Amino acid sequence: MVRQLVLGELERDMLREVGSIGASHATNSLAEMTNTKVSIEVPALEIRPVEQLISREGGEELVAGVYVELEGDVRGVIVLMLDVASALELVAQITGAPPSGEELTEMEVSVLQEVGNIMASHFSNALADFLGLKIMPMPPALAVDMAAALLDFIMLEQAYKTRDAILFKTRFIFQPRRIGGSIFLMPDPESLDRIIALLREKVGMGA
Amino acid sequence: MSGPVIVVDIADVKAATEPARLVSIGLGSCVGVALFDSSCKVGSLAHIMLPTSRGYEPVDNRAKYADTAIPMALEEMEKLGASRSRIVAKIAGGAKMFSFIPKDDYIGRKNVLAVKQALKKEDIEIVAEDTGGNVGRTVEFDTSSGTLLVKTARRGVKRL
Repeated sequence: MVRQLVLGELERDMLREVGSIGASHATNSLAEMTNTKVSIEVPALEIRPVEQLISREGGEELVAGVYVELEGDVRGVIVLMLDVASALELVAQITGAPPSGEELTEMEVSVLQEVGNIMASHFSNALADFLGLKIMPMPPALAVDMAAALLDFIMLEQAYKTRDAILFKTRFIFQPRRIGGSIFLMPDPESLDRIIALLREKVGMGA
Repeated sequence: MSGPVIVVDIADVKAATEPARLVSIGLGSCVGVALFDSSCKVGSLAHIMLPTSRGYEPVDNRAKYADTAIPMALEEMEKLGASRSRIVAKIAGGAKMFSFIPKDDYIGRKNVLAVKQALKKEDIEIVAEDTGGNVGRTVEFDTSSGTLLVKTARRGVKRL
């Protein structure tokens, strides 16, 4: 059950490329929704023990997280994370209405869920096209709480079977207001094996 | 409250004599277990990540799993002069941060059950508890008083 992930440099490069394709499609969809420029940082590929991923990526800060589970040939999760101020600004940009206050209203929650839904769909469609697989995003769920608490929940639900987990993380900046967020992809261990096998075939290394 | 602040990271156990504050930040599915011997003021905090070490052998880190972290915390406290017969427990965490998962099938709940089982096995009484729900928790354990503060982002602070 427990395994350690050992990946070569070539495999890491290929995985980073796949993550990057997905993340750029997702952030392009955000740019379209908001009719503004969204820039992204180079996606990071992290392979570490789950506990290290959690403590590196999350602290006590209040964030809005949209969680979308993937089913089909690739299982796993895509998560959109924004600090609350950025989340409110983003909703305001889309709806044209000013932010309501510190707490998210029902309307703001549903707009954010939809943003997460659209971004996750673009992300997973790009992955599916590139890999020739079928991936279906499930309905989005949103929570507003401490980043560490959201991440420990998400990562433990996804990766409790493995010692090491893999995470693609891309930070994006939403130009006009300089607000930012991250989009994560965390495939489950079996799906990661499948993705790696497909990538090896693509570059002629066989399975 | 005084003394140094000692951060207890995820999958870690720390024990201290008074005065100290043992802190774990942002418990979601994880469970914080504070053990206290009030007569010699020795406390420990475990930041437990998973219910059982079974299936993970050889165990890389005993502090990670409920069944191994509890004995480990007790050993650490005994090294500092605590006596098992006087030690009591306060526990917090084990939440379900998103609501879509079926009612009982989430890691947080499994963690809480496993912690209770491990404490029972060692004959340690749980004197206070703030577990479950859908809220993240930061815990701060004062080894002078044995008070466990449970802080949430938007629902205030509880004193256990």
